[in-house]
Amino acid sequence: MAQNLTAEQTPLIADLSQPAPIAALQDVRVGVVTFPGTLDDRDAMRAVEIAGGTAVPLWYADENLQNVDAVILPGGFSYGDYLRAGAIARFAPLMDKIIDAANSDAALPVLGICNGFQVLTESHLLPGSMIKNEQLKFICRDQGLRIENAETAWTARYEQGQTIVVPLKNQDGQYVADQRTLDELGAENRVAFRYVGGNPNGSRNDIAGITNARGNVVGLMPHPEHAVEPGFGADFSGAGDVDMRHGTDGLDIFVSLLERLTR
Amino acid sequence: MLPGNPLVNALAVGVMRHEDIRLANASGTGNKVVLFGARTGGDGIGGASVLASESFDDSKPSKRPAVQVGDPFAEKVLIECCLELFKGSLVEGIQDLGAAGISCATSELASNGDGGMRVDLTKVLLRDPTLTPGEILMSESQERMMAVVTPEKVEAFEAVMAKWDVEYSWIGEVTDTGRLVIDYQGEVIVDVDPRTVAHDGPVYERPYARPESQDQLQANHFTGSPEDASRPSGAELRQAVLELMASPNLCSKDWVTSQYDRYVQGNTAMAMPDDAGVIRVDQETGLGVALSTDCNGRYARLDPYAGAQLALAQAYRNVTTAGARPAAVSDCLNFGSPEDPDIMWQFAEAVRGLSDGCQELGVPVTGGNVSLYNQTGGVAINPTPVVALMGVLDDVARRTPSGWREDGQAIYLLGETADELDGSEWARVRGHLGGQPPKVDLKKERTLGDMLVNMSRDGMIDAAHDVSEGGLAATLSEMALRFGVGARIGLGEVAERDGVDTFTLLFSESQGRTVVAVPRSEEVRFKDMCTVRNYPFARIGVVDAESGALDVQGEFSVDLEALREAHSSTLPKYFG
Repeated sequence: MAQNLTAEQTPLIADLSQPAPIAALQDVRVGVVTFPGTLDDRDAMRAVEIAGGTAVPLWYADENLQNVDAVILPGGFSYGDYLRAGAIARFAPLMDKIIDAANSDAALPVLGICNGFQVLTESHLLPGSMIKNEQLKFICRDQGLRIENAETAWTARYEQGQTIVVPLKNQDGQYVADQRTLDELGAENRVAFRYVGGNPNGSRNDIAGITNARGNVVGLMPHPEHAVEPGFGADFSGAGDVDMRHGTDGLDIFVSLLERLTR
Repeated sequence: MLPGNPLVNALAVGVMRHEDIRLANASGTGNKVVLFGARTGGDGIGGASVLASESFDDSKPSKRPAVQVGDPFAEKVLIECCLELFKGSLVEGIQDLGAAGISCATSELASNGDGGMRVDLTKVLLRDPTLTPGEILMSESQERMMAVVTPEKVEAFEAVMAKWDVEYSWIGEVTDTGRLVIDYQGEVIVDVDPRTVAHDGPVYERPYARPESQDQLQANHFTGSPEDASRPSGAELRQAVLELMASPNLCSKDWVTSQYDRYVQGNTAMAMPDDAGVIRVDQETGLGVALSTDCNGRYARLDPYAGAQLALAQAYRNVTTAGARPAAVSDCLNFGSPEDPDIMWQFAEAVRGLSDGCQELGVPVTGGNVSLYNQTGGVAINPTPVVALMGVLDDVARRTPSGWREDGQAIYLLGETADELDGSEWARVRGHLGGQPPKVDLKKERTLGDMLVNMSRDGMIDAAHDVSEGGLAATLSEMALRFGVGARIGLGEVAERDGVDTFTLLFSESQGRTVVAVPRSEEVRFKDMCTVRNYPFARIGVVDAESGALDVQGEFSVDLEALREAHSSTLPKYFG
């Protein structure tokens, strides 16, 4: 016999279009640093939230990391790229804290995207440097990348050798380093991402991103935070055809980090 | 060096809540006036008046010192700084410093307010200490803002300036005198009623008249002209399409657009090369806007009144083709010297045309810009009234892309085609400019726009692309190239219905036309909607994902690779 259900017992039509947030991931606090001239800070914060974490805005002039569990240095043109891209931002008060935390036993995970990667090389958290693209122009396009190291804090969710597509947009994106450094990066498996489907800017050894020896500090030129949301992502995916702007290959960068920190 | 004046028109659209609007007025006696941002330098002195009022030729000294030097980094910092001021409600009134610098900002703020203003020019921070008071007043140095702040909020205002490392100086205060008084080194150098400066400017009555040569120009039709002598047909149409798609006006603009960031802020739902750019405004609801800017200066040269309406019609069509409801218009009116009665006539006609057109379509013009004296060595540009139209989408997920993707979908042409090759891109390729531009029927455009918005909202169409420069040939080519998916097209019945040959059907630029791709399951609803609105429609083909070609049956076929090669190699060829 049918019973009348109370209001609380009435079944709701579930909305399964959104993945269920995993509560533990929300406890991970990821700081996103804004320098004067940073452009992609809002995007990086949105990517952290879409991945399920909690984004914490950090201000370059502060001296407090606000107990974040990881830090993202986003893209843009800090200090207008004056002198050299990343060269002035590297001296921000907050950078001292980030450098110490990244080098500490706790090994704070740090991701530098584009201008953030440039700040990381200027800070000597990562080796090498970036010069102007070989065609001397700003380039914006969807770019194929091969995951060369799936063991870092930021790439663990990918398969070794997997191809992903994320937007690339930069003017000073040509990665250069002396031969000894390039040899070391190769020998120690510290190239995290390589360009596939054409080297867009003349980077040495097709290098798109690298990691430090411990795998907590990763820098890459293309922008995974622009390929995290269906409808607003890249036009392509490494896995085959996607609907227009439905490429979300960058999301696993952020999920990798959140999972690593909740393991 | 290339002759002529290259035009660069830029449009910026911002988003805000109604309740957050801050006006450019100075109210409240005793409130402080602050100038912040970059220091005032010697650049751009008399910039607006010089650039807007002189033609360029080799005999005059360079105008370079009158051009401001922009600094995008300083601008970005200033923008973020201002947003923070607004968020904290720290300013009563605010204005950017544009044309005529401090003289304009002070007089406009004061005349829009309810009292007066007293300013000490000695307090302005300078890049160059040798500037005279006149130069300080007129400098158009960029990245500067002027604001009115209550005494209680001065401290909080200064904290925001310190956070962003932005320089500022308190240069005066709002008074109750009704006068704008400016001091320099203890001496009053300006004492005026601000309204006389800001609003009661001179009104020009420039003489204008329809040029005598206009009749002759309009009588010189393309059809039957010497340039039309070898009109291609049949298999020759393949080469004609390749030539058209490689022409500088129709070729892929990827070489340019790939040098700009279309991803930043993560809200771009549609970008080049679709009919309109679509940006999400509200992340919760998906509410967003679509934008298109259009103008064909060749049409406007043949008939400035119709040319302005054609620009409006095209922008309207592009925005509705993308699925958005038209909401507002802005414009940039680019012309030669208004001191020439012929040019002044073009200007007057274009303004009249745009005004009549906007009234008919029911879209307000919220603002705009005028760029005059675009001529070199006595040769003026084609009149170019660029129209920017913004539309609204309730959910940007419903936007319609400009290319088909699904095999087997039906391809329909909405609208009819007449022999309207005058002013067309094909005529340009053949070196001809004359005759009458295509007829514009805004009532039809409105019906078409309504249909496209409804079809997009109800999921009746998966792709849509308007027909404009380059005609149906360009539309079909671009739709196939968008996602690299071919199609089989049959034009015989439409050509017969419209009484034109295949060439005319492909290359004429008749208005009020859009090509759409319709899923099989939606064809009945689609046809019903067109029938109810009494809008001409014809099924002209089917998407063919296997062929890799645009196959116009019985006429010609072109493989997409050759088409893409022709379409994409023009700009790299010229610019490297």
